[in-house]
Amino acid sequence: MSSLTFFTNLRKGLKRHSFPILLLLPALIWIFSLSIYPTIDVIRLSFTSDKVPGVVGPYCGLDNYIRLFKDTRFHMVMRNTFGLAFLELTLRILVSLPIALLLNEAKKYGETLCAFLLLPGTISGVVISFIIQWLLNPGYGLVNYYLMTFGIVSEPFEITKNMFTAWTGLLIASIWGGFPSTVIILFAALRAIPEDLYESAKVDGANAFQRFVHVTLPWLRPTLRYLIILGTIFGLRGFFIFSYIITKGGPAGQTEVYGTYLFRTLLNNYQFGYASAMSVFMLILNFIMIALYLSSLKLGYITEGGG
Amino acid sequence: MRLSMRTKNKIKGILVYTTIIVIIFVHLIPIYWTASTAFKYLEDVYNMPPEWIPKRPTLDAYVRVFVSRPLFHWVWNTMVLSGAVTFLTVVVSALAAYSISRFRFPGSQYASLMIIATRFIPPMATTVPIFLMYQALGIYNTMIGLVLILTFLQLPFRIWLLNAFFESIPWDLEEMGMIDGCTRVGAFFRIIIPISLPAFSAVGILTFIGTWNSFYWPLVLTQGAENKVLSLGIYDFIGDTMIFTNELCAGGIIMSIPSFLFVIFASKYMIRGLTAGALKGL
Repeated sequence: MSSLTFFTNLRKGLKRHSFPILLLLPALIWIFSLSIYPTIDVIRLSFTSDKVPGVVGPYCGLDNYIRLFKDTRFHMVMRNTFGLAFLELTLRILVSLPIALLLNEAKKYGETLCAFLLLPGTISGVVISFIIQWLLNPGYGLVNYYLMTFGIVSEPFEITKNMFTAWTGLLIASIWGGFPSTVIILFAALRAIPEDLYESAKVDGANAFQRFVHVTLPWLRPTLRYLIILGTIFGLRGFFIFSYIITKGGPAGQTEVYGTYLFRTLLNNYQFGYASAMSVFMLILNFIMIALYLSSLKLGYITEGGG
Repeated sequence: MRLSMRTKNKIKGILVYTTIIVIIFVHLIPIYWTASTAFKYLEDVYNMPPEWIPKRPTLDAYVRVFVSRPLFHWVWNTMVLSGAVTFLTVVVSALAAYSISRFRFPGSQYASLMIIATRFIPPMATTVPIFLMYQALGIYNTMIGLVLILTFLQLPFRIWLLNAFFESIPWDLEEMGMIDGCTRVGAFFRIIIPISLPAFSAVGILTFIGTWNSFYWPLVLTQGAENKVLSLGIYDFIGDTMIFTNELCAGGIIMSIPSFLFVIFASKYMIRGLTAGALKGL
């Protein structure tokens, strides 16, 4: 096809479909100029030098990437990001599943009770951060007062004391705000289980535990897989607010995560090249996870018969 | 036998409800404690043992937080920002979703997939180019700049939601309207928009709350007092001091008002919508 006919066809096509394309255009331009363009540009920027802070320098090859792989702080950031994401996801599902099962037993008022549960999930992360800080305040916090009064701990719990306390604090903040929406997703999936599945299991003489293992869990499997995969993909971006506000990355960088390290490199040190290399590495990890997700979906169709 | 089965069910019901109510109670203690701190004088905030119910309830902290901080300015900024983002998101995503769900044109089958795929690019990873682009375009530290990025963040998922909703509306409805003499645009305004109002309000509410709570992009793309939004204002407040805890709590409660309204008035319907089938195919 010559280029002339191509353009004539394109023009004809655009003319014939101008109305729907016109409707779609604002959204497409908006989305692409703020996602596709920056995604390409960040790759270019990752090859530029940042010898002079605040200026995009000349191209310097793979320097930024070499620096990234040698940066011991960045190694710790990776450990923190994945460690916190893994713990958060595991704990969140372990907390949410029993509550969703309970709510499902509350036949009539399940939705209403769910709504009450949701409250912290809709509150700003900034507010959650200081609520948790205030509650866990070593001198005047409610939690420490009762922990000390009942003799559960001998000295007050202090978030910034060491890595264990800092991670605990961040996980509490994140799970307190995050588990309600997980409960709702699981609850919605549970409500969708046809009642007769349980009836026939009962007829077959299955007890409550057997019904849970053989009816409920298989039915929840796609939902759980969805939660795990989204949790992993979004885990890469997670903990920014809590780490930035509650622990400020400390103590000694033990809670520095991807988002906070990127932010500091960019806006405290103005190292555009290095921050870009870090971003590109994040994009690569992100796409590896999505590829794993897509392949697991295909495998899922084979092993679960389309479930 | 039958009676004992019924009593058994009744006992089970009571146990289930009691457990859930205890869980919700414990779950909401932090919010209660924050609210109760906000109704105390500063001298009473650090009293031990903790005063669960303020002995001298007062609105002192609420008054002070408005006097000592430009809280009103932050609330105003945040309201303008969230309002603009919500309006633009609903309009732009409704048009795009209508186009995807109703027309077939070259590339239309990829359009929705590509739009949703962009949501899986972590926005954080594009911070550097967006920061540089904003400075080059002169929209760094402007409200317009914030509206542009925050609307973009909402669009893909909202288009996807509305697309699913439009697909569930039968074609016949519009065709009947068009036979009755409506144009396509007329059918969109007279038929599609009225039946889509619940979906639009769901999109609007989620967008408003998401934007109201946004922290990362205002932190990256604004500075100084003029364009400060509530989340950044409260963040500065935490950073400055943890001394005026009652005022901080009052600020936090004010910032959470949209969440309270959402939970009281809207969330039940949204949860019902979810359980009614949106997630069945998952």
